Amino acid sequence: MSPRPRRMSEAVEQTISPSVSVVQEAMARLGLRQVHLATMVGLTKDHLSRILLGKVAFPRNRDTLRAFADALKLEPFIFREYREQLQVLPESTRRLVAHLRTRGMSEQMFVERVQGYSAAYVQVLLRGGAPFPKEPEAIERLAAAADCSPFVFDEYVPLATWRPRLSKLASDCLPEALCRHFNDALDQMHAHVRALIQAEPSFEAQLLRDWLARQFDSLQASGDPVFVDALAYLPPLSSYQPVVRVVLRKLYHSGLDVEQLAVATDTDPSELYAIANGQIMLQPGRLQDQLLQYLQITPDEIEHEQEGRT
Amino acid sequence: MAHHVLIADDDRHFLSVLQRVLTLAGYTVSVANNGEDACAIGHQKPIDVCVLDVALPLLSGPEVARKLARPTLFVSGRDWDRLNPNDMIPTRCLRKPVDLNNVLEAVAELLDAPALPNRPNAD
Repeated sequence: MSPRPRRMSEAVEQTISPSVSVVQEAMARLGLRQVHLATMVGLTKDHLSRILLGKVAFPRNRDTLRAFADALKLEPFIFREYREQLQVLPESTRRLVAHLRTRGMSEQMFVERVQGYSAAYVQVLLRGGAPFPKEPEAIERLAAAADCSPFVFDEYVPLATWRPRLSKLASDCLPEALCRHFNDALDQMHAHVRALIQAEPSFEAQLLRDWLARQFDSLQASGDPVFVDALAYLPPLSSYQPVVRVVLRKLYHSGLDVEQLAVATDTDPSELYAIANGQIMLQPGRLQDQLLQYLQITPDEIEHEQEGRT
Repeated sequence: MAHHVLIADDDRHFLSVLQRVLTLAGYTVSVANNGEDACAIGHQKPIDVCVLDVALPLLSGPEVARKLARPTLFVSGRDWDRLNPNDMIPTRCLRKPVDLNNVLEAVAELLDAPALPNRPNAD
């Protein structure tokens, strides 16, 4: 059976993006004329006019959408095209794009800053046309260009997996005696980081705070290399339950630490740490109820987090 | 007699929570925070099931499992490519963050797994 032909009104509805009315309302609110807006977003007045009449598609380029958002004093997420673009991106690419936004760095500027890769490749990567790289060197280059830690990205090899890789490399390349020394040094480094964390509760609290800062506010994170190494032990944020991600974000923005939250909610600090460290799930029940109530988390926020990550 | 579970993980909070949950479930529990200690305990005590982190300090979870040759539940946030220590050992894997109910179920399942040959010596 052949599909039902579309009526003209349906075709028009599909052509005119809801973002057009968003723009028109914001222009009216700000008293902005088309000629001014066109200049601010880098389009010709004629092209903008055709966009607003639905004669050409609403832009999908993220830099252009952000220019619209900046000119109209809106968040770019208000545009359906921006949300659609972000949704199809791999998690780390989305995180990179969000970070660039936080830093006020345009994607074009980022493309120019990346060393050792072609602009075309980086542009394709930012559009989601290429998977986020897994090679540590590639991630380090992208992170350097974005002014962030490579540990922001889940693909970055954690320290725990460096050890067997380095050991294998050493056994392939070094004489046996040297290889033994090399492995001893690796053992000591591993034990040192772990001992620091376990021996000093305040270090652990600081570690978690630093990790939270990297997840939710990368500008605030410390650059202490010990922390950067130790951070590799925590699993990627994307592996946490949506409800826990919301709890962690609220915890970070509240300025409280885990011990204080445990006292405030009359709960076991170890259980809270195990949840915050990505070790165990938060089960529905008394603890979850206490946390949601104390941190004033609504079901809508959890639902929003779920939608944003899936 | 209660079954004996050995937990080895370098996160002390995870150890603490899991020890409490398994003890409340009626198991005898021993804990270690690195692979070498886990091996030492495993050779001294009659362990029925191990719950091991994959990336343990000093000796990895799969290495511990290979030495102890006990039914093993691996828990890890990463490193899935380094499992399968020995085809003869019944294993289960759970990804962190783990649902504690799933841990209890997996431990019970491993206890029901076919009997193993005599416990081998270390190394």
